[in-house]
Amino acid sequence: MISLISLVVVLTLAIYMYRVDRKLKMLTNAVSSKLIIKVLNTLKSKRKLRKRYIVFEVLSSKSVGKGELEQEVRNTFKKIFGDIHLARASISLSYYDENLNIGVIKFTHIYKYKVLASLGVVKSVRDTKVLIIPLRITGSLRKALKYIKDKEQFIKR
Amino acid sequence: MLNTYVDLNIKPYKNVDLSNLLRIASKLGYVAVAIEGVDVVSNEFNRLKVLPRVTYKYMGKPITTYEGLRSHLIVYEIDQPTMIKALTSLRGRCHLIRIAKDALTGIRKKHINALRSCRIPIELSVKELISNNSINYTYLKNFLKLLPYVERGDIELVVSSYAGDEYELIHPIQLIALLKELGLSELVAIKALTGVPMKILRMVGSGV
Repeated sequence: MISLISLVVVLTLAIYMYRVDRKLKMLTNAVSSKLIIKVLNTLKSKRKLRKRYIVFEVLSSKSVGKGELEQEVRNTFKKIFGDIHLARASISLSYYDENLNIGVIKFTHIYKYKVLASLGVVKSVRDTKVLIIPLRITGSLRKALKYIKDKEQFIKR
Repeated sequence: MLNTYVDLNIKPYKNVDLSNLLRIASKLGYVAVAIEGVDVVSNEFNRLKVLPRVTYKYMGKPITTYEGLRSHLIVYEIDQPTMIKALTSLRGRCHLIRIAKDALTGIRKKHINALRSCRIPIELSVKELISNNSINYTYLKNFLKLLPYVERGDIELVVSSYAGDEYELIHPIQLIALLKELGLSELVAIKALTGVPMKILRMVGSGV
């Protein structure tokens, strides 16, 4: 009896799926692919903007201050990509250890490559030559700080 | 081929500590570098392969003999756009053609066609693209002219740092991100730092 019922249920589901699939195909044929792409892009753009944290190390001949570095990174980003992208990327220096020369930059996830590119372009901070090396990108500040702590312990050892 | 980043153009300044420069290059993740203007270098430094590089100025025809340059990277530098002609004569005589800043700024369609037909990888350097914490507009404008041909596979591109000291080096991930932002696909950008330079390194091993 149970097997019979299950067989009926499976058959009904299969017929239903077949019909839904056919309807979907008809619908996709009716709507042009350009429109689908447009809708998908709109959906993508309306997704929540997430934060990312990039852990970086600074190699410099002299020590560099937190404010100066943040200003220089922002200026470089602005020069390359403009004011609108700078505002959208919302770049800020969340953490900077002047002894270890390691810091964390917060930004919006869709600007990952733009931020990386602009960090590569930063070559000096107030007449001090610098090289910014990206170490890791994390999804939370806690993980970024944990990475720095682990690195600090590794250096001490 | 991933993570086998190669920098084919490092030209240290006179007072630069070479071992420190190589240490930073190794730290950045490069597996091999080619150094210009240094006579004797060890083959390997901290797992980083070091290769001597010789650059000749292209004056319309190649040099006929390369004595004592069996394991060297041989490059021809073009510093004027008018010199971008008859490049097929360089085929089999050099590993790479470097387009200098002045040559790139005056490049035209006929020059690009000459570069396409010679089938030798082209080297462009980031040091000339980046100036004063910004991107050099005139260089970028002409750099962008080449990119569609690179994307299509008509021109093989190698991007190098042309660093004089450790601060002028650039992290490969940052370089890939920069190329991606300029309009290259990620795959081609990675190829410009890994695949094409590695192919050239294999050619250096077997001589010109």
